[in-house]
Amino acid sequence: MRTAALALLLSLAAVAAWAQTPAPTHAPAAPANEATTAVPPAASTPAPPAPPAQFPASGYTSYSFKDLGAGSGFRLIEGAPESGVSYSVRRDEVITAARLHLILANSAGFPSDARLEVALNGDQVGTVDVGGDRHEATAVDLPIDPVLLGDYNRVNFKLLGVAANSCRINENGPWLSIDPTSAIDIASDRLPLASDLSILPLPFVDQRDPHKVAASFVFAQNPSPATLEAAGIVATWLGSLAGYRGVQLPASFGAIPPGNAIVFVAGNDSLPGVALPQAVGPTVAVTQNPVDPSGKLLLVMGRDAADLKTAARGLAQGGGAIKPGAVSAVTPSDSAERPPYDVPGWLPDTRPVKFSELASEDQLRSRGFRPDEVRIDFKTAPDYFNWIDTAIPLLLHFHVTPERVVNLGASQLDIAINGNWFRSLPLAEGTAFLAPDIPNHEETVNIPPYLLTGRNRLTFYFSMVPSPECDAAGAAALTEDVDPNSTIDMSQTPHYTAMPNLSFFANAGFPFTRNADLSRTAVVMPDTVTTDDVQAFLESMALFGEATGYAGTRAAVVRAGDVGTVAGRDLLLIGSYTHQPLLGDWSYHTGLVIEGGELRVAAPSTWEKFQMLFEWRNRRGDTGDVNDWLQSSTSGEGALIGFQSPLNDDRSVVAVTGSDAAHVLQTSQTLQSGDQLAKVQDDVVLERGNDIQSYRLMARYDIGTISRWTWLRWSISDQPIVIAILLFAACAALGAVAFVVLGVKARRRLQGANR
Amino acid sequence: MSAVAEAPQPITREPETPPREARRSRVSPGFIVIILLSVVMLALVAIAPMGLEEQALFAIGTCATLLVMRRFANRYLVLAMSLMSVAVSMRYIFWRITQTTDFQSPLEGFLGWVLLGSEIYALLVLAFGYVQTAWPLHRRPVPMPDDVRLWPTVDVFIPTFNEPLSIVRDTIFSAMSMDYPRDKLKVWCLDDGRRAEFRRFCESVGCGYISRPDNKHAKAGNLNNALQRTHSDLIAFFDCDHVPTRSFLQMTVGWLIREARLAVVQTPHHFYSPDPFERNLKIEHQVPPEGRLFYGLVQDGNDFWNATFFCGSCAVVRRKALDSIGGFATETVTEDAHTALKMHRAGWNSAYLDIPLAAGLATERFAIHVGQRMRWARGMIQIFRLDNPMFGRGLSFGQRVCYTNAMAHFLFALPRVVFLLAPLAYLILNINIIRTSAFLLVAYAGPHLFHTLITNAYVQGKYRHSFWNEIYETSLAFHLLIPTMRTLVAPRSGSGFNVTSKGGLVDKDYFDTKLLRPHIVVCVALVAGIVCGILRWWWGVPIDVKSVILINLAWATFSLMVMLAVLSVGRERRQVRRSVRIDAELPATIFLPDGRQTGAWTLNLSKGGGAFRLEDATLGDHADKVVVRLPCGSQDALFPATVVGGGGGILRISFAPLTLEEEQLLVSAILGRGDAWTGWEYGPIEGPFRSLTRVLRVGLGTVGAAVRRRDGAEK
Repeated sequence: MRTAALALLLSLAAVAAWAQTPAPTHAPAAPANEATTAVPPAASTPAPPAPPAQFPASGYTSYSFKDLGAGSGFRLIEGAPESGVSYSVRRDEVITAARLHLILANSAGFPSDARLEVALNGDQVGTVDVGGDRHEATAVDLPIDPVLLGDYNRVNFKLLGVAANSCRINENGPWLSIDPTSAIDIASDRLPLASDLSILPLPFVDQRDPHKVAASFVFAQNPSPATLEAAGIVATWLGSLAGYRGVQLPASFGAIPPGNAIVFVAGNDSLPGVALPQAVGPTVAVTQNPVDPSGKLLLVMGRDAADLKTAARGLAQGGGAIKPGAVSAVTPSDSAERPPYDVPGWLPDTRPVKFSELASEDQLRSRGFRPDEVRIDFKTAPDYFNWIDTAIPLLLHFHVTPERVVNLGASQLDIAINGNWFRSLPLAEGTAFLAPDIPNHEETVNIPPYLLTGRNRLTFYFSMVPSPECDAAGAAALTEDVDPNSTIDMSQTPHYTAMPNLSFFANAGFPFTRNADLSRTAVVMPDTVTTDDVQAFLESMALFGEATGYAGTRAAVVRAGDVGTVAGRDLLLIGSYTHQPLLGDWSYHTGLVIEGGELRVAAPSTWEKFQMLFEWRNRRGDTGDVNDWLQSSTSGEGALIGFQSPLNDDRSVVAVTGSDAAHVLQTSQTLQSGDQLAKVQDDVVLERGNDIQSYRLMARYDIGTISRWTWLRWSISDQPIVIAILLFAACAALGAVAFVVLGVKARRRLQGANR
Repeated sequence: MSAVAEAPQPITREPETPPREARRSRVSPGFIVIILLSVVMLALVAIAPMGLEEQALFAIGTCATLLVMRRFANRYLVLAMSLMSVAVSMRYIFWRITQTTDFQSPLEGFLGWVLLGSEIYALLVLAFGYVQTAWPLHRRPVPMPDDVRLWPTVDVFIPTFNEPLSIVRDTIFSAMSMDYPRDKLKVWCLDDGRRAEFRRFCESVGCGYISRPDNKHAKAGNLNNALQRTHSDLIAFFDCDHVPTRSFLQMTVGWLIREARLAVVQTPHHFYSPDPFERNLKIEHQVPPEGRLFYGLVQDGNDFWNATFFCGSCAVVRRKALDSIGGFATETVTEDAHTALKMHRAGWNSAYLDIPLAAGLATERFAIHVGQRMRWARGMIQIFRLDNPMFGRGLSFGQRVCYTNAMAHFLFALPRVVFLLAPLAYLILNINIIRTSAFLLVAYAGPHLFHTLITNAYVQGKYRHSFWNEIYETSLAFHLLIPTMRTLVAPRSGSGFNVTSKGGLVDKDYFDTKLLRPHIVVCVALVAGIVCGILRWWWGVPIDVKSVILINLAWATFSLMVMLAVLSVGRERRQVRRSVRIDAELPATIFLPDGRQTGAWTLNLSKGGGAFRLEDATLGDHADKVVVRLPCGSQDALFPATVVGGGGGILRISFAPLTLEEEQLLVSAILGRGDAWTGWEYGPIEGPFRSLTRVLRVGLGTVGAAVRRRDGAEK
């Protein structure tokens, strides 16, 4: 059926005759040293309707195995000769040609008759002769009939010619490695999608495209705060849809760039090249990009900025708010404010959560004696109180079948969170000495709370040892399951944390994302915004959307002068040192001084130095180091700064700033690059290219709620000097009382007065 | 006895007020505020949960402060040091309970809680101990009234069961020689052995003799029987080997005359022969003997709280107090302490005089020592269960603490064994019974142990050196473990009174293998654990595991060191002399048969003979028969003797066979002098570090001896 549908699609594509295809392409990662000819599929393979087209020399996209989730490639050995990788196709693409570009190497003494069998979705697509020594990595290209590719695909590799019985895995025997830079190369034509609102979020977001979601935000002129509020809603919406892939949301004033774009026009705004319908209320429309036939424009329209916001809210809501067709009036329904921590993307913390809510049964299963890790990804609020009393119980059920092939006493389940192993559970109770092996099927373990971050990956690895009764058939059928009814329970853990903490901001948009609808967020923009400022703003908002998995519709955008109206909110300041006046205004509070467009940190006063004596936890760094770093270059820097709001003790401020607007943008984009995120910590982060420095300079403040008893212990737990003084004072005082009282008593007793 | 009736009666006026300490010391409201504030502050100190760095800083700060305080220590600072020690230990225990008990298996949890329970016990005993010894009273004697008619009549009870007459006769002689009006003093030998030899001896020296047809209630029954048959105001008790000095009654009775509600005046039990520890470990006069802590510090500290208890001997008791509680307690095997407790409950007071006024023989062999302590332990735990001093009626706060601690002390066996063996859980079984990182454990346990060690070394330094507590307790722990636990569960079970035998001789060196079997097993286990630990270290383990191994290795090594020292106690060394020789410098005169004489000073003296340094050195070589004049109280006495050696101004003599009268005089000359035992050398105060090296030397000595013996056997 699927093949037929694809064939139909293909023919449609042919009819459309979409000649030139400027889809995002790039050259293959590593050109092959020497391309070996692959043996064509065996005769048993159902013959395709036409021989696969010659693969084009350029203009194709490479999806490396690394990108597809096999970060370390594959190593096929005796006893474990199979592996595979998954790939999904964009919905608006028609694949014209596909091939596997494999980079292979093997060990010395590899069997000469060994072959690598490749299957796609269960159908064999080719065999590669991999016998003999192949110490140098060698590239092999294997053409794939595009007809065989469905929406979701699995490519399987099986090494033939070595022992397959997985009861006897031989880690030290011959091996064949498939490098992670191996790739699936796809040449495709893009399908023309209709200008229809009913397919939203297509074409702006495609869930199967692993690349960043890219769309320009177009404004008729320099946008007002109210217009930015509307744009912010759309940005969080895109962010929530983009998820881990991230976004790229450049801004444009008065001109339409190529590619997909979101256009905000109110009242009589006009844009060159676009025929704008007159909006009589909140309206959205989708139309062709006049400067790029492969791009679409999403028009967000209205009589004024308020209408734009309404329209944006409708977009974010989706469903019935927008009617099908090219143009639709928007009638969003009213929604109540979301309470704090009621965040769709975060693990619910009012009840134990079953694993079945977080992963499919298949994702919770691994196979064989050398299983893949079972991974459960989940996001949580980052501010769980991760201190001594906290416990995050995992109630685990697990089993392996068939048990007879496994030496349960010697096997174990290793559990890690975020790459940190914290517990191994034996698969059988007792040891060989004390008790016979009784299979262990459930256990409650506690996740050490300090290992938890906002984004978490819980990893289960079944470390399996075959039993003497192991046979090939049983081993081939061996599966290990983490039961979907296992639970993780955050409900016993309060929210309480020391701030400022930019790591929370970078990883989870915290504290802004506490309210998923951003109803406690205000963004303070420069009085005159540049496109870079707006992009920084939009991408920050998208970050919040990604963190919450929800389109926040209630964020406020204000100019510095109006900050008093949003004193009850957490503040996100955007703009360079010279364009964001609050940075200078609040320097008495932050100790950050801006002079001649340059940032400097004021040395702490004597009083502050005295206070620091009693700040044992989160000690503040030396301001001299920071100033030295700032002065070490004249090329300027980007800065991310967190501190307590001067307007409200319970609220926080994060400033995305820098020497100029370009640095501001660069800083906001640091937050999108996974590998740099770990460097973002503490409360002042400075960056210059790849040089990212984190400093702790701000006064600490705690947010959240814990019991009085816990608060008392928490508060004194970082005060060794105070506690020592308490001890000395109490002993001195009690000792003095005892000295006087006992002395009197002793005298009386020696006088025989106790008659 | 009849003389008493004619004497004026008002020895002390009976108070009209109730016997309870009427005037409770009132504490002012200001003090109460300070106390409450301080308690809150200390509670904060105890609960503050710090991380490694913070706790390390806190630990260093408190330990350094303690060292400074010790340097300037006075009575006030010692009180503050004790409070600090308890506070720091409370902090440790609170941390242990709240943060190190995340056990991951039932076995681990069981062992972990047993260890933690032992630590909590140790902390309780530590805190009670500080209270008990907060203010040693250093009571001095009260002079006797000038009017002898006001002196009360005194019976002296010397109970005996199976001890040889050769031992008991010295005691009887000395008791009869005490300075007291003859008509107010009567000495009674209470012979539960019903021996004709004793009856004849008593008749011949003029001592009262009481026996009874049965041995019901053992010693307590014997004493109660005698109580019914005598009538004096006061009774002095001496175990049959405790020889009193002449001044005993002069020093003790004064307090009983002054205070009408005073029931007991207790004095220390002093031993002039070395106990098994002193003899077998060769530490006599270098390390204070085992009993010194109790009689030098604890009883004196108890006295402050009016909680000194009667120890069965070397004490004077008011008959009226005994009568008021129906005589000696017979429910438990330690009748003395139980009787004292009952008197305290009835509102009577007690007093303690830390002046050695009687001396006796220490237990000869370790095996006997073990048997004696087993009885004490069982008895005290019986009282703890049957008549609990912490919760029963009629006691003051201090009395409750002191009595409870005296009894809780004897529960040491289980915790002591647990502490010894705990490191093996990790080294051999690979079980983590303290669930935390090694560094954190050091940061928390470090100040706890340091404060305990330093503060105790200061408080107890004169009476017990650091680490000797471990040796004394460990040596007994294995044998006490089961009897004490059984008694704790079923206090009425078990056998009755066993008499501690004394006066025997160890005629050759031997190792008491049978008695020390558990110790040897534990030593072997500890060595095995240490070897396991070292092997695992070499195995190539990560640093955090190495740190755990290191801690457990250090712990096991300390345990092993203590165990080796304890093993030495079982190496019984030969005892040669039958009559104990006393080193004393007394003025004497030596008369030669030819009429010449010279002044002399005794170098040592025993009932068999003695050595003298002659003032006229030339006279020593000229005779084989001499007569010696020695001071015996107010008079001097002459003793014929044979010269057995000498030269260079030294004369060694052996006394000729003496008459009973002469023997009584000689005993009072040797053992009955009022100052006989004052200035006894207990050994200099030793710091913890030097004490540790001594323990180490003792332990290594055992290893050396074992190796030598093995070599000898092979040859």
